[in-house]
Amino acid sequence: MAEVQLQKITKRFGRTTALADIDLTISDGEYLVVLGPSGAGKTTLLRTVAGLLEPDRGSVRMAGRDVTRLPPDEREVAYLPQTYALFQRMTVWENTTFSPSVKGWATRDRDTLAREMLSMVHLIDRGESYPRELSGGMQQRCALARALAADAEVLLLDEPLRALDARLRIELRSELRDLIRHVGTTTIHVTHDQEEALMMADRIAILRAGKLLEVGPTEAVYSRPSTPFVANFLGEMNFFEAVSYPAEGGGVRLAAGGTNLHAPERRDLDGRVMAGIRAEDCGIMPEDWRAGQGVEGIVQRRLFMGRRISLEVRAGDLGVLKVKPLTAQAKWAREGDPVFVVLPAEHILLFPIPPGGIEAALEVE
Amino acid sequence: MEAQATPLAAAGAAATARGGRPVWQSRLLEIVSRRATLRLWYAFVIGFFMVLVLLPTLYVLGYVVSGWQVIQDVVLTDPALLDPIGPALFLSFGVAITVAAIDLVAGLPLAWLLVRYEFRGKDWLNTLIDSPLAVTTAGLGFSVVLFWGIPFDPIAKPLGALGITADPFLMLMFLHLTTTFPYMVRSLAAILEEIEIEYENAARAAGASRLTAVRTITLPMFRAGMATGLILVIAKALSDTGGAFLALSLVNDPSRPVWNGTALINDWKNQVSGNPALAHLNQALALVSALMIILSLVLLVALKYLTLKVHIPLRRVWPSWERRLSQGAPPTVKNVAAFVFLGLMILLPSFFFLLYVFVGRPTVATDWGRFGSAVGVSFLVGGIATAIDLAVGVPMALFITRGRLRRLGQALDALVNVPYIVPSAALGISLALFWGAQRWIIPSDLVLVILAHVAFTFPFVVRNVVGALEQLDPALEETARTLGAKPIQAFRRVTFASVRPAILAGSIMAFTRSVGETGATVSVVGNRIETVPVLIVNLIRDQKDYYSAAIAQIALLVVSFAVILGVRYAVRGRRSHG
Repeated sequence: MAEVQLQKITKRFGRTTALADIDLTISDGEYLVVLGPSGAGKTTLLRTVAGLLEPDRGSVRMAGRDVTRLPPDEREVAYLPQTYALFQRMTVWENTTFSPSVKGWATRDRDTLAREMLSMVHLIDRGESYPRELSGGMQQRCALARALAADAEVLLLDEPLRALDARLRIELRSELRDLIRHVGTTTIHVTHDQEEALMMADRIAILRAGKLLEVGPTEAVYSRPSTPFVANFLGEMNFFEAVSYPAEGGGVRLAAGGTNLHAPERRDLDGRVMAGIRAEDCGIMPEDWRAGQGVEGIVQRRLFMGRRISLEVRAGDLGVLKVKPLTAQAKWAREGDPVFVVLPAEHILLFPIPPGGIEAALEVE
Repeated sequence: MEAQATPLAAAGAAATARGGRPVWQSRLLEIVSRRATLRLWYAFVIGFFMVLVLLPTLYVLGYVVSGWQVIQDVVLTDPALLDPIGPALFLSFGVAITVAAIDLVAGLPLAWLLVRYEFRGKDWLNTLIDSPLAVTTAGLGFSVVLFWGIPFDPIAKPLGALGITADPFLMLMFLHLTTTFPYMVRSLAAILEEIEIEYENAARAAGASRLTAVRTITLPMFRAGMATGLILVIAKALSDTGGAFLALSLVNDPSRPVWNGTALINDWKNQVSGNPALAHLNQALALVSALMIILSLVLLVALKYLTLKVHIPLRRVWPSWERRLSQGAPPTVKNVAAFVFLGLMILLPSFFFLLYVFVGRPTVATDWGRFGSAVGVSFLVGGIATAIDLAVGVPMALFITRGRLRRLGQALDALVNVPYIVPSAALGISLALFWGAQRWIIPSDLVLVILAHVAFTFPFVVRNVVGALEQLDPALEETARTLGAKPIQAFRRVTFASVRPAILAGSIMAFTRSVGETGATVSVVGNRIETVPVLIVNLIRDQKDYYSAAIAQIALLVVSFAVILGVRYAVRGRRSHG
């Protein structure tokens, strides 16, 4: 196990900067998820740690040792690529014992470790099978057993669940998380799936266009994101411009269009701000009930999603608000209905006005 | 960290108890895994290719330029030397281009059938199409003349011989259809396999007739395959010496012989090596070789450019005509015609010599000792050349696909084709000149022949392995590396297993090509070393012993098949054991 430190890592491919000045420390035994849209540089970051790419600038340290120029086989990392890269001409057992064999371990130690790993991923009975004979989930677990059997200090997972069916993907999240927590290896896991990231990470790092936007404990990043991009990437947001004033009894008062709203204070901001609230945090009631703070509007679009309903409500000066209430609370709402959208003060987030406009601030590419 | 009853503790215990591998092995592994070792090996491989393959192949160009004065005095002033050159070049290139065009038209329907249809006996059809490759081109030369030709000196003819022409152009054309057709069908089928049938289905669902869909959608995606096929065919037709020389010498009037480029080289080289007084022929040989090398390189570059860059304006659609041609009789007629072509133009002429055994008589007693030693030399040369191809070609393929110097890799990827494209008889002349010019090392005749065979078989191994490596997911090797494998371990345990079929295919192609080669052997050392194809040519030319030649060809066929089947079996056997 080891602490991993990335210092000022920069990597360019031709004219595009894949990674720009990345500083990131992953502590011993931590499970860090790097979240970002495709093309953000996630895989490049992982390959740099693995030693498959050399950074143009900056250094990679593991357990205090500078490994920037070391080849992958001298780094004590185990890399699990998106496609798993299981060796097709080897059995599950041969795949799992690959790393100990090439490192020249004694047969007995090798076998003990491999058996242990295979029982852990419930594949001990499939040792003689070839990868193509396994289901997608089994292949994933086999690749994990192989990686863990490398006895590496750092585990690098590149979209480990991507190739699986939606349902299995969700089931394996907790299983994978438990296994790795059990072993206690320092892990860097990259994904573009924010739900997966939120569920699995101790800490989360948000990467966009090669830049590290934010790093922190999962729940803190989710509830207090530092930029509109991060907020929106972790869950669909409504944004509207507002003017904030100090309010009596703490917090701020927001004037947005014709509406007055309370919001938690953000000391560094004053005057014009960009306010945001997640679609899932908005409530909805029939127009004549109205309780708490909010705005009136007309339902323009209604999509049934199962547990929740997705509504688009035209709300005067605030524009179109996306609202995703639980189905049980909003199944009465129909297109054309006048409604009251509840905007609870504690869920309102404030940001500085982005210089290039909100559209540019949210752009994924 | 606390010791807990977790897998982690077990892992830790295992980690401390390493030592399953003897020290000397670890040490060796460490040395071969150093970057410096790897670089040294790559440098050796590239150096080998440049100095021992590419440089000797192109040496004659420099020789002709620097010795232009001598060539002017000796060759350009002597009509006996100058006059045959122009017609010979015309014959070589004219036949090669004609044959390539016919192969393309006839090969398409067969490739189509092989890829898009499932039918009983498909494996047999595959084998049949490849089968002429098993006969040496010298054997094919004899066989084709026996079937189509009117020999100058009458030969006993088996029943069914057509005997319709003695025209050199037609004779060579018939010959090279048999030597090249398998290459064309193979290349077209390989690309067709890659093209998803869904494109065609989408076009047909949108209302296009089958012919329209194929012509406008599939064929344009096909250019790479056509380019490869055309290049292989032209190179093979230009290169062939034994077949062309035999076929032409059988139909030629000895007082007014007509040769193509390689046969001319072969004829002159034979004269020189038998009679040192004719040394001035060496200048003419250099000139012909240089011209053939330059023309073939120019032709092939032009061909590549034409097939890949020039767009054929075939966007127009004639719905009713094309629909009518897509249904009923026309497709059947097309398929029947393809099979008739295969049978009449390729298979029958290729194996017609087998029948000669029944009508022919040995003019002199078959010299089995001479035959045995020729087989020995053929297999020795082919075996060593293939082994060298593997030792140097596989690392070179790795460098081309995986090396860090992309530019150099791409350049090598293109250069490696040069010895294949260059006619092997011209290559042999060049190689002999190169080594003849060395003061300090003059390799023995056998080494020279092996070096020449390495030069023109080397591309087979490199091409095949590069193709397989490009298909292979690089993540496999990368993952192996992060799991702790040294580069050589990653290659041996992961990459090698995946490219083994390609390595095998490449070696079989290299070996059979070497065993069937006449031109390079003769043009390097004249008649001093006799391989089986050289023996076949000599038997027919010097002794008119067609019977022994046919027997020698049949015996070589049997032995080659046995060797190839044996190698296949050995490799497959090991594979099934894990």
